[in-house]
Amino acid sequence: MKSLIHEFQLKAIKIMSKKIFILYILLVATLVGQAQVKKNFTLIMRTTGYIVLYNGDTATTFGFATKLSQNPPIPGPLIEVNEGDSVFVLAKNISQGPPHTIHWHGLDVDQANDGTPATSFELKHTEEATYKFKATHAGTYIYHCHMGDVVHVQMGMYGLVVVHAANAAKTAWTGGPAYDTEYAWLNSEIDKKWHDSVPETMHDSTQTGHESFMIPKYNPTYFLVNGKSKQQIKSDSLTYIKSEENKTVYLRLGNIGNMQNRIIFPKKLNAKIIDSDGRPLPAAFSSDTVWVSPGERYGVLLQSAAIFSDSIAVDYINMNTHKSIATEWIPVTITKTNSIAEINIYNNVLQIFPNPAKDNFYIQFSEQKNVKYNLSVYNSAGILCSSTQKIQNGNSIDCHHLSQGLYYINVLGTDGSRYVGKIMLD
Amino acid sequence: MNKKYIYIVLLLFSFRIHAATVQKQIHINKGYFAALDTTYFYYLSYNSDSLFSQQSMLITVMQNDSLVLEIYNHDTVDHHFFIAGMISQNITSNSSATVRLKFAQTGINLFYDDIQFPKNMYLGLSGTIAVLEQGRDTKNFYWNLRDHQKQWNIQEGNTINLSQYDPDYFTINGQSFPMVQKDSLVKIMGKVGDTILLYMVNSGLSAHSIHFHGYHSRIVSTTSKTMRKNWEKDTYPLESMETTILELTPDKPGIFPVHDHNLVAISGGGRYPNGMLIMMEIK
Ligand SMILES: [Cu+2]
Ligand SMILES: [Cu+2]
Repeated sequence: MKSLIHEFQLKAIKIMSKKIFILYILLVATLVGQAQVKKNFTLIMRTTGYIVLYNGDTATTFGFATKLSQNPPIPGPLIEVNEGDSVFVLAKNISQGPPHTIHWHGLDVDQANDGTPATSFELKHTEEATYKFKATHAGTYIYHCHMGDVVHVQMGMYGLVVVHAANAAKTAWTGGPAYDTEYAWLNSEIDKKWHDSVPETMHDSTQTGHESFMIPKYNPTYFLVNGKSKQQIKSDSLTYIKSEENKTVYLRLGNIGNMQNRIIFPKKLNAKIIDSDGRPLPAAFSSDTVWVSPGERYGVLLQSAAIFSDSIAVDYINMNTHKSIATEWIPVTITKTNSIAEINIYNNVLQIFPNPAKDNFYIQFSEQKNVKYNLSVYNSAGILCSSTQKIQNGNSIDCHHLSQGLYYINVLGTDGSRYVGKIMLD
Repeated sequence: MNKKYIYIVLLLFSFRIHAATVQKQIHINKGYFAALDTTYFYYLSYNSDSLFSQQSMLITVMQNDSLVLEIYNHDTVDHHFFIAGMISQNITSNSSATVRLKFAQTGINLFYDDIQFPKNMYLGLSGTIAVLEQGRDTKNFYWNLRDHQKQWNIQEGNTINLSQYDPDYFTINGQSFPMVQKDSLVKIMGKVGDTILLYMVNSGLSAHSIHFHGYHSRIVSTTSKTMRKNWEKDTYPLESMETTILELTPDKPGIFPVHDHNLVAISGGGRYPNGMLIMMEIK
């Protein structure tokens, strides 16, 4: 491919005028170098959501949704981009409530896009605007509303920003350690008293949001990993870690609660801490225990030669008494390396047929939703080989240009849903 | 004489002229802490004179300087002047003592009263001694983080029940947002390309997690149990009694908040916003 372009360029130099040649070079640079990748997202700010808690109880929430008909999920839709991408997030306040903002926690964006009320823009009910920033460093970040943040964050206005390595390589950062599968946990707490007693002013769109207000004492009774606790976690494929012997899991940890998290891994997982707050550590280190304080993020590699099932403990530590007041147990299962067709390591079921395939294949999702999906095909080295935008359930995917071998399919919906599968190409 | 020796003599001489003896007074005063919601509670403080101030005391010296401290105790009970691994000096009530210290290492030292630990420290008896590097052009800021639960301070002699600690006031150098912004040691100001050093100590009883908008900083040193030296981060946890020094070189101008990400600590007496929050200004 490269030499072909080179030959063509040499011919072009002879034939074309200098000006046209420069234009041509610019075009090639854009197509081949993928220098300017733009990623667009939409987040709708809502104040009329709810969360179903593990015991069947519900709490009213604020949050971010991708469409009006959606109950804002907690955490909010995953913002997933690659290092070097220019990111555009259209934020719409359709909340009948107070102004909101989005703070890009850890992304070091400029003041105008920082999401701090008063020093950057804020969105009143019915207003919309686009946050713009560049994802300069691969890593794990958080987004959250910064308007009356102690309340708006508690109410659920937060989510994760995952910046993958450049060109979506399956490495922790560009040129960093490789992994096979990745998980991201965003931890938080819920004090239902706060949700029940949100002052009326919080639902009043005439409020400026700059009024000072009183908060109750904070005594959370629900402890969340990705918005779930207890038995809810066991059926959450985004949280439950499933891997295979000798395969590497990259676990991203973030804390948007008001308590410290102490995460204790089974020794057999050989946990290695490799990055924090979107930067590689000067020296990675092995530790079965990771502390994650409010606002911090960590990247951990997990790998085991053993086949076993166990749990990872997430302790919630009171910042004042230093006592662990709750523990959530996240199941982890390491299985024998499976045959290709059965692979459904994480996320939702993606049906791929025929498998093995030759010139094209069909995809089918487990859920029927009116959502557009972006499909990415990675080879076994984790290199992005092709991507198709805006596909729908049942679409046929052309793969005749791909060489023989094993490929990983990653499908991301505009609503934040994610599907993963493997395919063998003949 | 050999040239090499001349250089050594010159080098020794240069050290001698730079290493000074610094004399300071410290007064142990009792008074009342005033929160912004007009709440008052009993407080003890190390001050530079005999007038009570809730402002936390900072002494700066250069590396290898000698420090002579005259410490006056104006309280009716004994107090200590204590620096871990360095000095423990009793000062009996209504009397004074002199201590001499020499600081070979740059960094930040927390001094406090370790009597009935952590009670007297919690009541306000903590301060910092920063030891600065000779000839380094940096902009320095100093934060002493504290937290308070009003009900423990209503009167003298209250006992602290750490197992039920639930603070409602959060201060930096004895003040909270927005008043604390008047403290030029606290409000971070600088310009693009400056080398900004932030010396933080946590003499409160709670853990704090300080988050910077806008910039990552390098951790120059920390006493944290996780060795985070040279990590580049945007959020810095400090357990009680820990110190952390950050180096920030801003790459863009802007006004950005720096705050505790335990968001409850951005309140005072239950009112938001207050507590551990400042707006940093980079030109
Ligand atoms: Cu909000
Ligand atoms: Cu934040």
